[in-house]
Amino acid sequence: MKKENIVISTRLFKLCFAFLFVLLFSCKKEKITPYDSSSGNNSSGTYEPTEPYNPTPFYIPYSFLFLERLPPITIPTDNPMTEEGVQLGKKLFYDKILSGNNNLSCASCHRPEKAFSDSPNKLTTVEGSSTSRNTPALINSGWASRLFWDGRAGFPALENQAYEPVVNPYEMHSISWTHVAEKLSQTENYPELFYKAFGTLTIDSSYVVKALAQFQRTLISDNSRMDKYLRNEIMLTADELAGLDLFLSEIGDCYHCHGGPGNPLWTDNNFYDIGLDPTYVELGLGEITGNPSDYGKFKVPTLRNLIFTGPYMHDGRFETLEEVIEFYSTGINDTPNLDPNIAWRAHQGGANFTQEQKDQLLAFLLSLTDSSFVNNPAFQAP
Amino acid sequence: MKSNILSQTVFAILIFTVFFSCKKEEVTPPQNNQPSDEANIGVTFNFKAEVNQTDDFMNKGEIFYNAFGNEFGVTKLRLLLSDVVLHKTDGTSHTIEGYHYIDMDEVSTLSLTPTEKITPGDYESIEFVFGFTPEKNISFMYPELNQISWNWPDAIGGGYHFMQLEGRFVDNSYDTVAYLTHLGPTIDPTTSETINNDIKLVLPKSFTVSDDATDVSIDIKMNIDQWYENPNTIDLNVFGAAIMGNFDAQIQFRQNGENGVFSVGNVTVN
Repeated sequence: MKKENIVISTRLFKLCFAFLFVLLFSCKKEKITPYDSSSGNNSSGTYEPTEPYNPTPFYIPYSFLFLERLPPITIPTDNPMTEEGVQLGKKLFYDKILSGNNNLSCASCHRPEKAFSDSPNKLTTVEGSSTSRNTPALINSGWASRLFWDGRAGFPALENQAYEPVVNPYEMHSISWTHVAEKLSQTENYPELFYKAFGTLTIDSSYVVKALAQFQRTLISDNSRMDKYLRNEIMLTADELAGLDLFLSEIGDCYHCHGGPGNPLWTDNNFYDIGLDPTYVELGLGEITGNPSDYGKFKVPTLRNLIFTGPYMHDGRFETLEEVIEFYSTGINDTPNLDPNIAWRAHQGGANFTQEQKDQLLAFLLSLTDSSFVNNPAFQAP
Repeated sequence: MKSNILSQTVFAILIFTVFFSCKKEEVTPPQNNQPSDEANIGVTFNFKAEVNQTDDFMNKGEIFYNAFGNEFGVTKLRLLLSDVVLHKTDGTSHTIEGYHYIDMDEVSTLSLTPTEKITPGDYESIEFVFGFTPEKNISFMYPELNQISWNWPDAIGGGYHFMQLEGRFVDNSYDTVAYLTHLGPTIDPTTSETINNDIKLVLPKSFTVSDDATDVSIDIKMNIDQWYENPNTIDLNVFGAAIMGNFDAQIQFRQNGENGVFSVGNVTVN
């Protein structure tokens, strides 16, 4: 290539890049505002930026199926996705520095090999004890408008959720967020990483949860056998198909809450009472809203990657999927807020599946296994 | 020199593109039945529902009665309306395309303020579709509805739910059991033909929007009693649960939906 052509190409490339940059941000109402170091304390002490704050936008890699059938994840206007933010979030997610005794990270309980849920034990605290709640899996959580089993973290749910476990005495048990921020500020790398992600020289809890949320929004599972079937790439087995039909029928009646081919999240992210106990042991959403009609309601988990995410239910009471299916078949309790989609057969304990139907449902559920999600290098510890 | 001209040309095109890329309003060619006046008056639709003449019916227990005599309560009401048209006495109309999902548990869904504006003048009726028309009731077409699992299984007609009305009633054995009035498409068992089962409603309502009006508020009312009353008196012991795949139930509910379930309530012109 001639030198002149190279110069022209280079100029055009720069011009086009500038154009795209201007186009991208020209309609944007919210801007990433760099921290004004003159108006606050630079608690990082030693770090001095050598380059202007210039984050790289991060585009969530939606599959075609998700693009076609789901709205994009709602990104909070004050926390746009950036490459730097996602990478910082991943580092924080795996860093035990967030816990009081530096022995527990987010990933200690949200383990990638368990689809970011826990091992067969329930959530284990820094002191080694267990909480009453089963660690929820982090799969396609960006679409949830409320998080926690009882929905106490509202939009932006991933940011709001992250404030709690770090200082929860039953979880990571840091003394305070101020203390966590001080620890991060005194490290060699974090001040620079926070600056590059958010343009701030002062680390505080809001930036930590924003980074964690950005990383978690990238945790997308969309490549199970069922996804491939819905993309017309493979055919499911006869049992898997029969299980899907049962799932979508009024006999199974699972789809009203757990999605389906139209909702490949395999959850509606809503809250229901499914009649786990004869009387309410925990109030769930009702504890948060104070509304008696919400008593006993818990968040519907996704059916993706169940092979990795056991035990099941909000309190982890069922060790196996067979137990879960049996519960819906014969174990329903007719509680006051029991969802009508289940309640209409509560008098007979549930759907009364045959053994063949149970086997088909299990085959269908396992078709939602996405091993590429748990093995995705982008999600592993840095 | 050549490169400078090329760069300047490209730059000019880019600036022109950027300048117009943020423009929100587009010039829409007038349609034949659109009023000729400038449409600049906002309109808001408010959805209201009632049972036994009360609008305070959610989660109140089984204290209401339907025409058959079932004692029932309501714990969930969600429905979908689409393609609203406001008809004027001069034969013109304003069409508001799209759908509106309503959930009695979500206050934000109980009103709709479309971007479309209307013109002053005399209006005589309001038209809308309960559910989607067959052309628009396409499985998996609407991401926001997919996300809330509003889909209607393909095996029983496909597309989307039109309504989920749920609660409990006292059955023939005096047990309090669940009912689920889920309405949508159905399949004729004799012909295997899919019946979309949407309801196109044209509700008469006369009101005048003055030249100096700024906005209009229109109440759309749903009388839940009527779903079970006219022309088919429905016993929840018969059509209480598992009716999505029940052709007779879906047809009878649709017939009832055509007769007095919906009406236009107060219209306020400001």
